[in-house]
Amino acid sequence: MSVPVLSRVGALVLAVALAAPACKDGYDNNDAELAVRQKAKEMCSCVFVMKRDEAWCRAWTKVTPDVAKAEIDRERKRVTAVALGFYRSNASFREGLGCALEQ
Amino acid sequence: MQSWSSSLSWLALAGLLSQWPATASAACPSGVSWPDPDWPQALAPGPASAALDELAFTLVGSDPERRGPRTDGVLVVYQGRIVYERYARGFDVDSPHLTWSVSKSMMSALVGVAVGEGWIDLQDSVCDHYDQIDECSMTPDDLLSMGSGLEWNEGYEDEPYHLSSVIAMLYGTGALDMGAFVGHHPQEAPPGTLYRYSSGDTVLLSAVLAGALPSAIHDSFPHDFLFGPLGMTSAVFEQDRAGTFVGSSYAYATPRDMARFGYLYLHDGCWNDERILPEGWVDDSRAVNPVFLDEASYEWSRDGDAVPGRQWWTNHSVPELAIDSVWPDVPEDAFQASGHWGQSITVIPSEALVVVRTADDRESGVFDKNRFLELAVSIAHEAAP
Repeated sequence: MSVPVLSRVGALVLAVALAAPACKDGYDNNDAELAVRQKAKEMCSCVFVMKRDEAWCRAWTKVTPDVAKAEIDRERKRVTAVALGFYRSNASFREGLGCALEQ
Repeated sequence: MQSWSSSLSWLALAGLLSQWPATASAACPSGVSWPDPDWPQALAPGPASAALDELAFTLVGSDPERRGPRTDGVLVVYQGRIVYERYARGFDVDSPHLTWSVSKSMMSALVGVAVGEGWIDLQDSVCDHYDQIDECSMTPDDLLSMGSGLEWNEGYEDEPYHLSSVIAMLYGTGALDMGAFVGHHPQEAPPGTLYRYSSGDTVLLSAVLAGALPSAIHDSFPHDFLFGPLGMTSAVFEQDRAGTFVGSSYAYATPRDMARFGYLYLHDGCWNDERILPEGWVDDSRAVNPVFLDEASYEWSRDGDAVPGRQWWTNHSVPELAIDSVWPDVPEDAFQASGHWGQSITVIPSEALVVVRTADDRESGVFDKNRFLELAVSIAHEAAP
């Protein structure tokens, strides 16, 4: 698995909604939405599981175009990622179980 | 008379039973040096070590460019001693690393433990343990072989995000309940008839395993039954919010702890002379995947992939399919847990070797694994008394 390069800028347009799960015709997520969710999850794991410093983790989770920005709440062990002011995602850490997306 | 005979039978049975644990432990290799509390170090600086330094730790670009091999750590354990160890790019001996698909091999070990405990049988229906699968003729055995037959697109980097099943599972519509996401995919082939490398199959296996475990031990199972006994204190297996360990991708450990996992497989699933994995489990993991031998499966294999075992990769050649060893200068008994961006644990029984590499090779195919493993063998030979 990877932190892949966003395939195209036009991906900000919503992908065609399909009954999930599906495979051949794609899934019901657009690329910006996936980018914030990926950012939240991988930043959370980088900081709280791998215990790397913040600057290192920002570089590690960077994709192109780098639309998602992450805020780290160290007290609650939670990361919020935002893109375009509209797409938002949270991931949080649980002791022994690592990080997972919340919604 | 009758009661005597009956008593004797019981005595005979009791005798057999009392021998059972002894027989089981006798099957474990003896005279092994275990890393307790840590690996002894006996570095072997020489020409092979210098060559490995150069191969693995020469950066060709700046960090933001992410070009070329970008090694974070290499560890070579020969006969239970560290003969080569080096870290880079801010990592050190205490840094846990994301292992990506090395996690698959760890998940398969957890299934092995549960088989040994009698909690799951590989021939069970998956529906005996998990209710989010449409096809109840599927077995844990099919999932271990990546032979679910479910429709699945493992690709991601070279195509739009929304077409990838893996991206959708880890970050998209499937991320909150990955097992259910995989389990409701359309069936493309009958279970057990088509090998296809699939992170979905491993996650589904994890969900099935979770359903088979006594519920009280579910969350602590990896730690209590595998990482703990092996002394892998750095290891973490992440769960999704439905409680499924993300068996395809999200185990973390330091290279020294990854080497402990490899050392378990080097010694037939035994640790400190106790059997962790059932007898035969390791051999079954590192043999050529039986479902892969189907011709239709071979057409599905990806360029550059090794011959699959079961949640492991192997260096076997398969003459009947005209497949050569993927690492031609490495013994054919080598087998490997392998993850994205260059993570690997390689076990070479004929050389008493475990070789670990952590990395961030985002530019795929840039690292010469054959040469890397060949050098690790050379280092061992230079270290040999």
